[in-house]
Amino acid sequence: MENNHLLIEEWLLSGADLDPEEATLFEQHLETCSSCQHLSQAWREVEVQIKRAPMLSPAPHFTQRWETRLVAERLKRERAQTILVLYLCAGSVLVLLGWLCYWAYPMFTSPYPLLLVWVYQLTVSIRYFASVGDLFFSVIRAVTSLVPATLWIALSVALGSLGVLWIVTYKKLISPRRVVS
Amino acid sequence: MEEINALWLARAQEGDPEAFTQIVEYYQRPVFNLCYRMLGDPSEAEDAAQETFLRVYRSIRRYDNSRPFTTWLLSVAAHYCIDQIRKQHMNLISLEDLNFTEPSDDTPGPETALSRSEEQKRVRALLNNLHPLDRAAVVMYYWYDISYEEIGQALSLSNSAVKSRLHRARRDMAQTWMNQNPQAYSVERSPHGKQSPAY
Repeated sequence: MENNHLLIEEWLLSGADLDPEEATLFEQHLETCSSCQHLSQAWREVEVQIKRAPMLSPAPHFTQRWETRLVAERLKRERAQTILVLYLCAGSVLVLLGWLCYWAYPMFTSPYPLLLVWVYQLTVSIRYFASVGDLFFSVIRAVTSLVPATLWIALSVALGSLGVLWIVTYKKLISPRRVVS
Repeated sequence: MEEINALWLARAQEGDPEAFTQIVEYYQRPVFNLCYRMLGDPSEAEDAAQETFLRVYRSIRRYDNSRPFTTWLLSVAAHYCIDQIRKQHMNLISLEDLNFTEPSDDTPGPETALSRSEEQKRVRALLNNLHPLDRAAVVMYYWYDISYEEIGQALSLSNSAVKSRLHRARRDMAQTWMNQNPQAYSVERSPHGKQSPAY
C-alpha cells in the first residue's frame, strides 16, 4: 500500500501522461485513499494559483535607474582605482625617502667630499646640455633655410586643424549616450 | 520567451552601451519577475534585477552565443537571488514578518486588485517555504516555460535533479497549501511522511 502511495504521488506530481491501465489504477487509488485525494486536490489548487499569478513589472523608468546605477558604479570603481594609485604613490615615496635617508646618512657625518662631487656633476651636466642645445639649433637653422616659409605656415595650420579635430572627436566619444525608447 | 534580436546582442558584446540599454529595456520584466518571485519583496527585487543587469553588463563579452541568452540572463538573476536568500537567511523569517508589498502587474481596474493581492500573498507564501534552488526551478518552469534541460543548465543541475527538485517542490507546496487550509484537509496532513531525494 505504501508503495502504491509513492507511485500515485509520483504520477500525481510529475504531470506525465498516464497510459489507460495506469490511469485506471490512479483513479481507483484516489477513490479509496483520502490522503492521496487531499494531495491531488491541494496540488490542483496550487497549480491554479501559480498559473494565475502574472508576470510582474518593475516600477516605471527601470532602465533610467539602471543607467544611473551604472554611472555611479563606474565612478565608484574609478574612485577606488584613484585611491589605489594614490596609496601606491605614497608607498613609493616612503620607500624612496627611506632609501634617501640611508644614502644621505654619510653626508651628515662628513658633507664636504660629497658636496664637491655634486658640484662637479652639476658643471658636467650643464656643459652637456649646452652642447646638445647648440647642435639642435644648428639643425633647425639648416632646415629653415631649406624649407620655404609658406610650407611652414601650411604645415602649422594642418597640425593645428588635426589637433582641434582630435579634441572634438575625443569629447564626442567620451560624452555619455542615452537611448530614448 | 522570445529571444532579443541577435544584432543588439552582438552590438552589446562589442561594448555598445545603447545596445545594452535595449537589452535592459527588453528583459527588465522577466528579470524583475524572477527576482520578485525569489525574494518576495519589490525593493529587494528591484535591487537584485539592477545588480543582475550590472553583472551581465560586465560579463557579456564572455557570454557563450550557443546558449539561449534568456536562460543565461535568468541564470545570473537566479544565482544572485539564491546568494541573497542565503545571506539574509530569509527562509528563517516567519511569514508574518514578510512585507507583502506588491509591484505592478498588468491588470487594470481596482475591482480586481484585492483578489489579486490575496492571490499574490498565497503564491508568495507557497514559494517562500521552498529551498532557494527548488524555488528557482519552480519559477523558471512555471513563469518562463523553460525546459528541464535549460533549467538544469541555468542552475547547474542534471536533468534528473531538476525533475526531482520540481517534484519535491510540488509536494512541499501542496503540503503548505493543506496546512494553510486545515479545514478543507482535516483528516490527514502529511500523506506519506517520506521526503523525495534532492540532488
